[in-house]
Amino acid sequence: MKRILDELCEMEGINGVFICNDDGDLIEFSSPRDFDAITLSQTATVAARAAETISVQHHTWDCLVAHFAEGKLIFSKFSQCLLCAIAEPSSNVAFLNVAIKVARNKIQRKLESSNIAAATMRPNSEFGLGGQIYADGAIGTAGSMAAGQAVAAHGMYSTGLIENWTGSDHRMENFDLSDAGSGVMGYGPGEASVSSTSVRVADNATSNTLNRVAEALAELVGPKAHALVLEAMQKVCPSQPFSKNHLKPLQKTIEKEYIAGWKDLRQFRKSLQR
Amino acid sequence: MSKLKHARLMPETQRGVVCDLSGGLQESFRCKDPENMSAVASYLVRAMCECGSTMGMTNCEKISIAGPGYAASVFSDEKNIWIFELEPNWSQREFEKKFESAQLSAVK
Repeated sequence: MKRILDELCEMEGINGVFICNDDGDLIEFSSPRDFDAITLSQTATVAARAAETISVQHHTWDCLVAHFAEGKLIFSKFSQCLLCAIAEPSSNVAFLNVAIKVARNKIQRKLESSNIAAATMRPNSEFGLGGQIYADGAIGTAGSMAAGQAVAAHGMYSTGLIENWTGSDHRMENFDLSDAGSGVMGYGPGEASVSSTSVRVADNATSNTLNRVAEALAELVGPKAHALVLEAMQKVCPSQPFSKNHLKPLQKTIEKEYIAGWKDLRQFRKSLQR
Repeated sequence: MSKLKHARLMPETQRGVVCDLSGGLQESFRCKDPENMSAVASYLVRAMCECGSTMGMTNCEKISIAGPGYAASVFSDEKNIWIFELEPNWSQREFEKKFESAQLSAVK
């Protein structure tokens, strides 16, 4: 991870980069200039608090740029981590955003490949400030899953994979809503998880309806719809299997959280009725 | 004079709020819960200022937030904080430029 951050730091206009978890613990950093670990650690704590604050209003945000007279802070949220770049005032934010997203995806791929969810990233003093990423719970096994456990098995999504979905990953183009049952893309009866918490779908009819809901939402928000529906499912019924009784609250949640404006709302409802 | 006069008319804005630095609501348009929006923005600006001052940067002038189907811009000066939620199909950057130049000409 250090190497990825170093590479990002070499970009023109970036003075430092760090990554922290949602508790504000500094995981890793790279700063060729003035910023030391203590400064970045303090910033990380406040930044995590700020990230939490925005999530109160909009939990789907993934990028924040704070403009100062003397520079810019660019935050990118993924899984339960925050990647922050300290940039010069004259830097091109759009350009840096692309570089940050690339770095973010690389880090995620690393996490995925080692089957470790970022949700459980904790700094470990034994490994210096750079920290050590480890999973608290079972890894790579199917079956029951407690919140906080990192599972990347058939029929389940690791936190990282979901994040890639919501990002600009090429896999989104292969997004197949009708692939119910495989557990990889659809809402087949069985388990699907988002943000390290599982949601069970009770029956085939419900899973078909869920696919229709995702299709309707995809017309408005694009391929991210699937991840958003999973997120909404998790909100509506975090503990019990998702059944047809939960469909109405799910629709309400989606309309409230992810649909802006009455025009989109009308289109969404129309698509659902089709 | 309304502090949201220009922004209200811009096609990019869905809703907007202006508040003081402590989050006290002053004005809003098309908002369901303007108090909450102003409180969140005020807290966010404070947190960003804290981040900035730790790193030797002062005066957080603008915060741009974006996500899937969502964009918001927060502006602050020494007295007020403006928060706007934007139509996702419009350019956030263009809106910010327009708003800043409108603010500048209002000051002049």
